[in-house]
Amino acid sequence: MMKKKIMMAVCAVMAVSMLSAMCAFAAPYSLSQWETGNSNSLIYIKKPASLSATTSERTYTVTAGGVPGVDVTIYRKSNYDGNFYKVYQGGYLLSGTIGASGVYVVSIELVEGGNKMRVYAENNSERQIIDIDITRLSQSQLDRINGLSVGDIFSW
Amino acid sequence: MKKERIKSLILSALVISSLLLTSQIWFNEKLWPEGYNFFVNIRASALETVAGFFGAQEKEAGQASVLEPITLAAYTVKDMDHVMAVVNESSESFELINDYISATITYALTKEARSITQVTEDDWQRALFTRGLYVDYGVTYDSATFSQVLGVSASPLAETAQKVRRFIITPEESVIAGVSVYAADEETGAFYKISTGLDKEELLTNLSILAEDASPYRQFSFMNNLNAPPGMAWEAVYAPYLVLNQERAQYPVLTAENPVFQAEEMSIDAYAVDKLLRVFSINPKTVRRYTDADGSLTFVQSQSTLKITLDGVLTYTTVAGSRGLAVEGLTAGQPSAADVLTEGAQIPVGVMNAISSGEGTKLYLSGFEENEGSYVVTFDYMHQGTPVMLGGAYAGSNAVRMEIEGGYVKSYTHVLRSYAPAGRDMLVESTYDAVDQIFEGITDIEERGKQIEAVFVAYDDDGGNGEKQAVWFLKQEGTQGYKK
Repeated sequence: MMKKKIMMAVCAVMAVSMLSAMCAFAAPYSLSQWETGNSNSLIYIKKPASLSATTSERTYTVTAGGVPGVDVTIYRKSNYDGNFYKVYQGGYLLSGTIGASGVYVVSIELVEGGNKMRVYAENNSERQIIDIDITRLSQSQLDRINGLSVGDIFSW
Repeated sequence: MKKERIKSLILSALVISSLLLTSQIWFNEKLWPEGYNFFVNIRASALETVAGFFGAQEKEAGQASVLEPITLAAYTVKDMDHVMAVVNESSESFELINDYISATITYALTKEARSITQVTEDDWQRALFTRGLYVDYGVTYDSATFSQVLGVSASPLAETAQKVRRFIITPEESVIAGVSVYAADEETGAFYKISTGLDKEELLTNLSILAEDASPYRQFSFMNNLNAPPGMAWEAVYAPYLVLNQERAQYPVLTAENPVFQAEEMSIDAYAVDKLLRVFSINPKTVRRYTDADGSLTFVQSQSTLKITLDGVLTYTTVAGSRGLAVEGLTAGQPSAADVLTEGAQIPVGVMNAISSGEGTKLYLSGFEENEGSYVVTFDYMHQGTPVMLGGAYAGSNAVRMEIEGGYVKSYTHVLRSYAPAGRDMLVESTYDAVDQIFEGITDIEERGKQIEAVFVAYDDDGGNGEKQAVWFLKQEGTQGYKK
């Protein structure tokens, strides 16, 4: 009887530890705006190279170089609470694993105005967070830029 | 009376059996293994003619293109996104676009030198960011040869750019400006812009047609900074102007076979051989023929030898160039490179017409070298715009390799293949997934760092009969051969 109880306890501990391990590896649903990682060697952003960009396009392609096997998830900052939440596009989560070539590519649909994105990379116990800022110009802003003349630039 | 009847019956039986035996002797190929069988060829020819009368589909004429766009990308703006469509022979609008490109580049080549300005690579890249057509012919041509192939005898561009392969056709943004053509000099790395003055309406119309099938998930590698030197992860580096696709794509599965080998009789099709001999001006009635131990047929006439192996490789050699096959349309002596290309291409066309290479199959120019008046020209197969890569016993070979010297064919090798759709399609993974899979086999750090100079989908033909799938091929700078 005692033996059986001990066996059950051991199994329960193993199950809990395996579950918690799985939970620790899966990217969280949301990230606090103050969250930082514990690594800077998992991934680096190739585009936008300066971690910010302005575009008139609806879709922006982010590319990165990273260690093969690293899981990457894209988050978008909420204007409501400032936290970052996972991005779903076309019903699919913007998430992937860096393949053997070490190149990660993801195209993100932008909203007009600011798009504060977070690239979350994890591998075993290492986590890396990189924030990027993509501004999508509105149609009216584009029209103003296209209509700009030399006279406008130098007008007071 | 009874005796007479028996005699008549026996006589009739003898006449009938003699007719049957005679027909066997005349038309059974196996009874004529060594010699030219006039009757077999007459029968085959008659069957072809009769089939034509009854509406049998006329065989598509063979094609060997010396100016085939290996990459033709149309890029424009749709729904607030930059989008790109890749156009090839499987596209309905390919002929329209290809004709437009040829006409526009030809016109640009005739422009005066003052219309040509040297620009920076940034200008070249900016031209790829807006709207236009990008074409890569796959083979680097001497500028003068390229111009002459297009019918322009003396182009000002040839005095400026040494070697060409890639062009951009783009509408200038200004209301009054027209179409500009950009050319890259493959020898010096310089870029040139030619203001053609052509109206841009036709180009804009073509782009709007192509925008329907365009996708925002296809981009040039430089647009995503994938040509930048590798970082800490030693990630793959792409050449700047490769078209990379984030999406999977559909390709038809092909079946391939040796078009001259008759499996049921374990011999080479005599009628096809007859037609092939005539392509090389060899008289099938008088040529000396031999059958080798492995079943290959060898034909010797004058100082030329033509050999056809059971696995479908045709080889023509001659002792000296001037004793070989004269290329029609070429003047003896020193023909121009452009003439060698355009006239020489008729020989593989003749070979393809002699056998059945399959509808939608053509040859495209894959290499051209000149060495002291002698030219080596290579062609490879493509089916509906997708190249075919030969592997297996043919690994490393081109479909056609011919050496032309002084207007004569000195040597010619042709891997005879026939391709047809298998009736089903397959999904091919994205460029990035394909490169990931290929890189799983590359563990050496130095090798990982070599720039990917070509990555494309092609049919993998191992030389056997049966289905052939479309797979990704990749070539890195400084390496021989392709990985897949």
